[in-house]
Amino acid sequence: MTLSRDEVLSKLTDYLEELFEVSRDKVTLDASLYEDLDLDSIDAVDLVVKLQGLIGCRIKPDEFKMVRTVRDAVDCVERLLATDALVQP
Amino acid sequence: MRRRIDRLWRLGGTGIAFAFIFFGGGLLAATLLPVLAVIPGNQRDRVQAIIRLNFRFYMSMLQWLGLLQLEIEGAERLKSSGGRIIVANHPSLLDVVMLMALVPRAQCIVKHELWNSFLLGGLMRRAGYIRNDLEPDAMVEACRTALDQGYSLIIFPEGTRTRPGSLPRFRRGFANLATLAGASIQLVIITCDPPTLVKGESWWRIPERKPLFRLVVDDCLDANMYLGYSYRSIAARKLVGYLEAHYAEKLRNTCK
Repeated sequence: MTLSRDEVLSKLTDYLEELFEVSRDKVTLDASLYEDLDLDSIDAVDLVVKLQGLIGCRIKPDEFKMVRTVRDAVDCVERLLATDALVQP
Repeated sequence: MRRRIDRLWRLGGTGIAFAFIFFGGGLLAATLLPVLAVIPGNQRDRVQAIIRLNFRFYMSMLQWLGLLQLEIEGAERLKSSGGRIIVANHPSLLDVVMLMALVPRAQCIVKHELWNSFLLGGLMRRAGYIRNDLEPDAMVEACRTALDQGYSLIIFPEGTRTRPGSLPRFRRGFANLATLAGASIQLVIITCDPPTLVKGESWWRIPERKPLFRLVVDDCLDANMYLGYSYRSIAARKLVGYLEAHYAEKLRNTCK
């Protein structure tokens, strides 16, 4: 699957709104998921499940543990999409 | 004069009571518990039962010493609450003692520092309480197991004692747990007038008059109430909001 960076961000924003009632205007690349958007570690698990559905591959818990901001999350998804594309050309 | 004598008496009694709980707990951990450990059977339940008995005795002692007055409403409903989460607001240091005195097979999440405590560490280990420094998923698993085994899990969602004069603000942990485990929630409302043993206050700052503690066993929320949402995360948020409003309503008259 190919998704542009903007599409990834827009999907992520959808999920944040849908799952955690985060208002869209608060979702900026620099926003911290845990401080600014009020997610907790259990929420992160729910978000990972949702993102896995989007990219069609598993996200390792360790990989998402490093994610602090919206930018980190977008980067993480992009990286996985890229490696995914390598495996399945 | 009479009031001064009363105050002095209560001050002395408070000192004794504090010494009792620390050294009593340590003594218990050092003497009786190792002996019980060699007797076959469920050690954890036995230790918890002893803690409960001690706390019952302790609460009677505090009343007998004239340090406080205690009113309990609906205590019998806490006895049949196995497998539920018991949620209470947290005005004072005695809340956990009162609840653990009333709830059989009570499981709770305890500050991890206590495991290293010289006096109480042994007690924590033998009672099998849940440490608060577990990784989130390990914590959820430990709590879920306790609920499945029919323990009542006592949680103070504020995470710390209420700031005097303000309404409780709940953290989301208990709601995450309730929504993940599908557990029902027994609400308990605790008030203390005048406030005592609040956060950041030394034990010897005792109140002007003998405090009245009231513990009211309130509604029990069935898990179905909050499992109907399309996302667990939304259910947990609604639950926190609902309970903050509920406690605010119930405590409005006591917070000045």
